Amino acid sequence: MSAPVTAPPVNLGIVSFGYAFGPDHDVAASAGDYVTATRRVLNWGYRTFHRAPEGVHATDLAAAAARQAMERAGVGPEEIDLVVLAGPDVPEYLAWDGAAALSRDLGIARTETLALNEGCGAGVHGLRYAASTLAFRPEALTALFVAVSRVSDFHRNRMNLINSVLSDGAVAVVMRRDHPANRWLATEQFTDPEHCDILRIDFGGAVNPLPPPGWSSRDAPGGHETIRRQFASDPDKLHRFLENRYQRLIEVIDSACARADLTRDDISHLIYLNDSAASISAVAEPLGVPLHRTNAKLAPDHGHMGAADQLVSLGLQLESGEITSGDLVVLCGISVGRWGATLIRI
Amino acid sequence: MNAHAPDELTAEVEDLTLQWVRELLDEPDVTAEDNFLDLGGHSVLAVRLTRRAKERFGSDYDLMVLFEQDLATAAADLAARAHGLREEGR
Repeated sequence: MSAPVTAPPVNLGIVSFGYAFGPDHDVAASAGDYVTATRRVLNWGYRTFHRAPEGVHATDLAAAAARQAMERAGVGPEEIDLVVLAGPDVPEYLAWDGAAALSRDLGIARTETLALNEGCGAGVHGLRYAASTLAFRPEALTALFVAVSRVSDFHRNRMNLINSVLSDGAVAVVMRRDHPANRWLATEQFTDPEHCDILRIDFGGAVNPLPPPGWSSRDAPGGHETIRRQFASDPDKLHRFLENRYQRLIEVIDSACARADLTRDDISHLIYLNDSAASISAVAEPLGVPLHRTNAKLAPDHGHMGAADQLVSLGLQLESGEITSGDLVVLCGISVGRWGATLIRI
Repeated sequence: MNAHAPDELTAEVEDLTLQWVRELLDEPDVTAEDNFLDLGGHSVLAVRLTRRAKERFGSDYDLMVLFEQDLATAAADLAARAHGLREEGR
C-alpha cells in the first residue's frame, strides 16, 4: 500500500442521487420458480427483490436513474464532463460500450466516458476513477457515476449463483467539484487474481461462443458446484478462501482510512453488499460499527443489486436521516477477487 | 474420513454442532438431519463454526461435508478427525 496522504487529490462531493428499480417481487412466492431448495433461499432473509420486465435492460435502468439524479441536481446533459458506468456482469451486447450507450440515451455528447465491468464492487472502487479523472482535468466540474445491475436470466439463475437473491436496480450520482457535502475522501482496492474464474460464464465469449445444447440457467450447476470444483480436494484452501473474504475487507477499509489520515474508529456507518445481516455484521463488528448503522435493514427489501447496492443504501439512508452531516461512511465490497473501500464524509 | 470415533465423542460433537448452529443462525429448530446451507448458513457463519470446532476439538469441519451433507454427517466427520488427532498425540 502507498504512504498515506491527508487530503484527497480532488475535492469532490455527491450532489444528488437517482434510482431505478425493477418491480418488487416476493422472494417466498418466487423462489420455487428458480430453485427446488426454496428453504435455503428463504433463510437468507430477503423479503423482496426487483425484477425488471422483459425488454427492460441495464441501460434503461441506468438512464432512468441518471435522469433522476441530473434532474435533482439541476444539471443538464451539456454540463456533464465525465460519465462512468459500473455495469452488470452480463451486458446487453458483446463488443459494445455501455457507457457510450448510456451517454447517447441521456443526450450527453463529446464527453469522456468509462465503462467498468468488475462486477459487484465496481460501485465502490469505481468512484476513485471519477475522482482521479477530475483530478487530472482541472476544467472538468461535474461527473455522472452510475451503477446498475440487470440480471440476464438466460445466463444466470438469480437464486442459485451466490448466497443472495440477485436483483435489478440502478443508482446514479451527480458529483461536483468543491461540493461541500458527501465528499469523496479516499478509495483503496486490490485484487487477488487466484480465483478470478469463480463466477465466470463458460460460454458467450471467444473461447466458447455458444452454450451447450439444451443448456438453461434454471437447472445449470450453480455457484456451489463451482466451489466444489475448485476446492473439494483441498478443504483447507476453501477455509482460507472464506476467511480471506472478510479479513481482506477489513484490511482494505483500514487502508482507505490511512489514505485519508483517519482510522477505523472514525467510521460511523458501514455499507456493504446487500448480504444477510450476519454477513454484514461480520464486516461491521470488527470495526466497532453496530448493525443498525449498516445497510442490514435495507438489504432484505432490495436483494443484491450488483454494483448498485452501496450507493443505493447511502442515498436512501441520507434521505431517511439515518446518515447525517458529519458522519463518516465507508462503502465496501467484494468483486470476484477484488476488495474495495471508499470513504465518504457527509 | 478417518477411522470411526468412539460413540461418546461422536455424540458430544453432534450435540455441540447442533448447539453452535442454533446459536449462530439464531434458529432454535435445528436437527441433526438438517443441512447447514438449507438452514441459511453461509460462508462467514461456516468460518465461525469451524473456529469453535478448532478451539474445542483441535480440528475443524470439512466445509464441503458441512455444505453438502446433514449436520450429523458433518459432526461425525469432525469427530473422526478429532479422534485421529488424539490417537496421533498418544
